Amino acid sequence: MVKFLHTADWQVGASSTVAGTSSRELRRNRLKVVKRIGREAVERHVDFMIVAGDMFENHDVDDMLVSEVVGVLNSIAPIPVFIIPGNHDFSGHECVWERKSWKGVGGHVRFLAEQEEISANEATVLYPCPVHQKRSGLDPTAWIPARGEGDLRLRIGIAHGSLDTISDLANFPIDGKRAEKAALDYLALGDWHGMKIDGRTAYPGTPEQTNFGEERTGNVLIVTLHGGSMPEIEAVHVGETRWLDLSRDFRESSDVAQFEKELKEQGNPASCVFRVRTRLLTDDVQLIDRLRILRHSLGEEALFLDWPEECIRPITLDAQSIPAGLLADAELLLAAPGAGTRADGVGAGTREYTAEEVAEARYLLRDYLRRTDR
Amino acid sequence: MIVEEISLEHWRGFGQRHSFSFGSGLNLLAGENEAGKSTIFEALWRVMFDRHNSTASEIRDMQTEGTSLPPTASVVFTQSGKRYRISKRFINHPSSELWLEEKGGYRLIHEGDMADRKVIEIVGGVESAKGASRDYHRGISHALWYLQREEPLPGESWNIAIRDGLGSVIQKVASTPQDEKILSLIEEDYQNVFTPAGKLKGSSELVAAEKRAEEIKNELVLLAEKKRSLDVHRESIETLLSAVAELVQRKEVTEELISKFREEVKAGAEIESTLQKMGPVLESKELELIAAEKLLGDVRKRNMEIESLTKELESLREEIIQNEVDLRATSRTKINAHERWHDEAEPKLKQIELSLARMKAIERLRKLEKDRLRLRGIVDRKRSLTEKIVRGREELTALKAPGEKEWSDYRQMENELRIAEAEVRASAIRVSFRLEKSGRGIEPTPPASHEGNEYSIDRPTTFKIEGVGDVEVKGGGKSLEEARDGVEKARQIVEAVLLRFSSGSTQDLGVLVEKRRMGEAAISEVEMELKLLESEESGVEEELPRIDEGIEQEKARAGETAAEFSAIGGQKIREIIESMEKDKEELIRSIDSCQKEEREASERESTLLVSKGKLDGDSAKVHARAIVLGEENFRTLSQFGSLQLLEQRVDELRGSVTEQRIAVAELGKDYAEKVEGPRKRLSESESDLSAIMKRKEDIDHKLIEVRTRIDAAAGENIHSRITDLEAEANQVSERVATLTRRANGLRLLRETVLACRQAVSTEFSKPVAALVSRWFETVTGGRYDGVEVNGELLPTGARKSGGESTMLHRLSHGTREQVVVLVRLALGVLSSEKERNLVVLDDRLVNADPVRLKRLSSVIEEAAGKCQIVLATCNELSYMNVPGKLIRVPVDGMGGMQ
Repeated sequence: MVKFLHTADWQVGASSTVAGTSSRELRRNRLKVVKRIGREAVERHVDFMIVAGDMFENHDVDDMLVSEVVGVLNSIAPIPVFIIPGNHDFSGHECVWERKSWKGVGGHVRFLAEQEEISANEATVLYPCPVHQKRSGLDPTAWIPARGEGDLRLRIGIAHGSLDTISDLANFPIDGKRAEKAALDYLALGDWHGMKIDGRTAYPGTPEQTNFGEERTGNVLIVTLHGGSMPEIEAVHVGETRWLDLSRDFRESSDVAQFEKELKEQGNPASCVFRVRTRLLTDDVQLIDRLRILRHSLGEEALFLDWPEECIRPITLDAQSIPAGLLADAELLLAAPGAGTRADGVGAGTREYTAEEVAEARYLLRDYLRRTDR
Repeated sequence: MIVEEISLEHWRGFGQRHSFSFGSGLNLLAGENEAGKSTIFEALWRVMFDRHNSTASEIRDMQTEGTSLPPTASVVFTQSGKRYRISKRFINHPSSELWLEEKGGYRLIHEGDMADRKVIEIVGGVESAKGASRDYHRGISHALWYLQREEPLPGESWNIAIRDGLGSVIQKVASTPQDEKILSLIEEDYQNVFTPAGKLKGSSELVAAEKRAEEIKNELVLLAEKKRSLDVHRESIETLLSAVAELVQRKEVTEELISKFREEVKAGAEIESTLQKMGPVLESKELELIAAEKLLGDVRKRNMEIESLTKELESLREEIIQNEVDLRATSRTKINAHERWHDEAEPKLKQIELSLARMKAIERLRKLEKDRLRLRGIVDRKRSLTEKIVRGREELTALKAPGEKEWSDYRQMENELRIAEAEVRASAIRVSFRLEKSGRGIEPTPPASHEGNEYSIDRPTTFKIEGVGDVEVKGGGKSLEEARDGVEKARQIVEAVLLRFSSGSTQDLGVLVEKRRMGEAAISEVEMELKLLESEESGVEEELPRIDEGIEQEKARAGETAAEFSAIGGQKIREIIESMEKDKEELIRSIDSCQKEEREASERESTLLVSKGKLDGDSAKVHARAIVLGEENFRTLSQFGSLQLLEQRVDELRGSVTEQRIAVAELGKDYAEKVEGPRKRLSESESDLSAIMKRKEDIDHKLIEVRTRIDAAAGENIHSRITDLEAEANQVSERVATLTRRANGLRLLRETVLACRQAVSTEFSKPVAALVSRWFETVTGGRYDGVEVNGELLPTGARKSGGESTMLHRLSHGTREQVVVLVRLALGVLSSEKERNLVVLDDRLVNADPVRLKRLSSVIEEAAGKCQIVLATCNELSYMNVPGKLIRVPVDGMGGMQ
C-alpha cells in the first residue's frame, strides 16, 4: 500500500487582472494555500507528494515566490516530493527550475525532467512525463512502458495535459486509456483546474481558483493504492479565495433582503472576489439607497468587488416623475432622438455626446430631483 | 408693496423727528441738494431690510453727528392688502417692532429678530448673512429702487424675486425654488469637475484617475522593456549555449587532427636527418667549383687583356714615328723664318728710320725759323704803342684842364648862381622916383640897378636924391638877404674855379675840357690796341728764346743734310718723308709676318715634343702591364699545368655539383611534403585549438554574466509587478470611463438646463423689452425705436430707427441713465399687475435735457398709473404738469409734510 498527495496547477505567481488592486492579495492567498498543502501532507502522513505540472505560473515568477515555495517544500522534508514541469513551467534553458532561488530546494524534492522510470520507494515506480515546451500535439504519456512480466510494483504515471476525450486540438493530449494500456495503478494528471476523477486517472484541479468560471477548484487528492484494486481517492479542500459571479434583478425591497441574506451565507467576504451585476426594475428611492449602502459596505469588506455604480440605477427613466417647468423642458430635450449630438442644437454647442452620456445626463437629472425632493 | 409713510429721527441730518407720507401714484420728493432726500430712502431701506442690532459701519454712520441718540425710523407699508408698520431703533438699545393694522388700530405682531425676519419675508427680500444689507437683498426692490451711490445695473442679474414679481404677466412660469436649487447643485458639481473654461479640473477625480492610468501605462512600458530584455537574455543564452556546443565539437575534431599531425611530424624527422648529412658535402664541392671557376675566369680575362695590350703597343709605335717626322719639318720652318726677319729686314728698317729722322728735323727747322720772324715783328709793335701812350699822358698833364667831375660841379654851381641871381632879382624892391623936377640925380647907396627911374634894390638902400635928401628904403626881409648871400657864395666858387684853371670864362674853361677829352680818347685807343695785342700774342717774349733753342737743336739733328736740302722746297721734303714712311711700314709688316711664322713653328715644335714624351711613356707602360699579366697567368696555371687542364678540372667539378644538387632537391621535395607540411598543420591546429578554448572561455564568461542578469531581473519581481499593474490598469480604465461618462453627462445636463433657462428668460424679457422700447422711442422722439433686453432682464443696447444697434455702454451717460430708469419703471409697472409696487428714483434724471425730461414726465405719468413712484428731485418744476403728490424736504431738517 502506498499513500500519497496528488496535486497540480498551483500556478504560483498567477494573478488575475480582473481583480484590480487585489491582485497582490490573491498571490498571497495562493502561497497560503501552498503552505496548507504542505501541512496536509505532513498531517496525513503521506509517503510522498506528486505535483503534476504548473507548480509555477511561468518562468518569470518572482524570486521571492520561488523561495517561498522552496521554503514550504523544505518544511515537509523528508517526505519526498516528485515534480514534473507543466506547460506553464516547462523544462528548458533558463526556466524557473534553473533559478538560483530554486536551487535551494532540499534533496527530498526531485524535479523529474526526463522520461525515465523512477523508484518512489521499494514497491512503487513512477513514470514521469515532463513537458519541455509550451504547446504540443503529442501525448506525453506515450512512452510509458507496459508492465513487465512479473512486475508487481505499483506503477504511477505523472503527466500534464488534456485527456483527449475532449478535443482533437487539445494541448498535450493524453490518451484516456493510458492507465489501462500501460497497466498503471494510477495516472496523476495536471492541467485542468477543475477536479476530475475517472477510475485510475485523476485531475486534482487547482488548489486555488485563478479566475471566474472555474469549478470544483480548491482541492488536493489524498490517494491510497493497494495493489490491483481501484485507488482510494479523497479530495481535501485547501482553497482560500472564492470567486463569486452574481447577477440579480430588484423589483421590491424584499429582493434586496434576499440578496443580503445570500451574501451573508457566502461567509467571510474578505476571501471573496465578487462580480455583481444588478438590474433595478424600480425607481424606488429607498431601495436604491439600500442597495447603495450594501454596495458600499461590501466594497469595504470584500477582497475585491466589481459592482459598477450604474448597476444601481433604475433601468427605465420615468419622465412623469419630473415636475413641469425648466427641468421637464430639459428632460424633453434629452429624451428626444439625437439628443447631445450637433444636430440637436441644444446642449451640444461644444461637443458631441454618446448615447451613454445622454442617458447619464438624464439619470443625473433624476438623481438631483431625488436629492432635492427630501 | 407700496410705502405710505416714513418717519425718522436722529438720522443723519434729521435730528428731530420728521414724517413723510406718500400717495399711491407719483410722489415728488423735492428738496435742495443735501436736504436729506437720500436719507429718507436710506431709512426706508434700512428699516425694511437691515437687522436692528447690526453693528455694521454703514449703520453706525447713520447716527446724527454730535449726538448719541439712536437713529430711529418707522415705515408704514401695505403688502397683499395688509398694512404694516415696522419701527426700528439702531445702535443704542436697538429694537424692532412689526405692527399689523387691524380694525383701525395696529397690533404688534413681532419684535426683535423675528420682526426683522418677518418684514423681509413679507416683502420677498433676502436676509443678509452678516453686515449691512446690500441692494440684492431687497428682493424685487433690487430692480425697482434706483438709489444714489448704487450701480445703475447689477453685474449679472436681478434678484430672483423680480421674476416672481413678473410671473403674473408672463405666461411662461419662472423657475421654481427646486429648479433653482437643482441648478445650483448642478453648477456646484460642474465646478467641482470643470474649470470655468470648460476644461477638466486638475483636482477632479477623473483627472487623477487619468493621471494614474498614464502612470501605470508608463510603468508598464518600463517593465515590458525590462521583461523584453529578460527575454533577449534568455534568447542569447540559447545562442551562447549552441555556440558552446559547436565549439566543443570543433575542439574534439581539432584535437584528433593534432594527434594525427604529430605522428606525421615524427615520420618526417628521418628525412630531415639524411638531408642534414648531404648538405656539407655538396657545400664543399660547390665551394671548390666556385674557386676553380674563378681561377679560370681570371686567366681568360688576363689573356684577353694581354692581347689588347699588344695591339695598343703597335699603334703607339706608329704614332711615335710620325711624330718625329713632323718635328724635323717644323724646326726647319722656324729657322727659316728667323733668318728672314733678323738678317734681312731689320737692318733695312734701321737705315730708313735714320734718314727719316733727318728729313723731319729739316722740316721742323724751317717752321721754327718762320715763327721766329713773326714773333719779332709783334715785339716791335708793342714797344711803339707803349711809347705812344706815355707821350699822350705827358701832354694831358701839361694841359691843366678840369676833370670831368670838376667840370660838372662847375657847371652845376654856375647854374645855381644864375638861379640865385634870378631869385634876387625877383625879390628885389622896385623903387621908382617920379620927381617933380626931373633931372635930379638919384644916387642909391649901395648902388642899385635901375631902369630909368625904377631901381631894383635888394638891400637897405639909401637914395640920395639930389636936392631932396636921402630916402632910406628897407625891406625884402630875410629871404632876400639869404638869396643875396647864396648869389654871393656861388659867385665866389665860380670865380675861384675860373681862376684855378686860368680861364677867363666858362667858354674858355669848356675849350680846356674839350682838349682834355680828346687827348684821353687817343690814349685810350692806343691802350686798347696794346691790350688786344697782349692778349692775342701773350708770352711772345718768353717764346722767342725757346724757338731759338729749337732751331739750334734741329740744326744739329739735320747735320749735314740740312745744307744738302737747303735748296729743296718744303713740299718736296714732305713727299720724301712720306715715301720713306711707306717703306718703313712695309718693312715692319714683313718682320711681323716672319716673326709670326717663327713663333708658330716653335709652338708646334714644343707640342710635338710633349706628345713624343707621352707616346714614349704610354708605350713603356703598356709593355710593362703585358709582362705583368703574362707572369700572373704563368703563376696560376702552374698549379694545373695548362689552361686546358684547368678547363677540364672546372668541367669535372660542375658535373659533380649538379649531381649532388639533384639528389638534395629530391630529398627536399619529400621534406616539404613530409616534414614541413605536417609541422605547419600541427602548429595551425594547435593555434586553432587554443583559439577555440579562448572563445569557449569567453562564451562561458558571457553565459555567467547573462545568467547573473537574468537572476537579477528575476529578483525584481517584474512579472508580479506587470500583472498587478495590468489589473490596476483595468480597474482604473473602467473608473476613467465611468467618470468620463458622468462628467460628460453632467456637462450635457448643465448645457441643456441652461439652454432651457435661456429660453425661459427670453420669454420673460419680451414684455419688458416691448414696454421699454415704446417709452424709449417716446423719450428720444423716435431717434431710437427699441431697447434690447437680455434674459436676465438687463438692457444690453438700443436700436436706432432704421435697425442699427448700439451697445448700451456706447450710449451717452444721460441716455444710458434714461434707459436704466425706463427699465426699472417697466419692471415696476409689469410687476404691479396684481398689486402696486414702489419704484424709487433718487434724483436719477439730472442729465436729461428739458425736452427729454418733458417726454420722460409723460412716461412717469403713465407708469404712475400702475405703480407707486417716489421720485426725488432738486427741480420740482420739471414735473409740474405731472399729477402727483409733492413732498418738500426742508433744508434745515425742520421741514415737514405738505
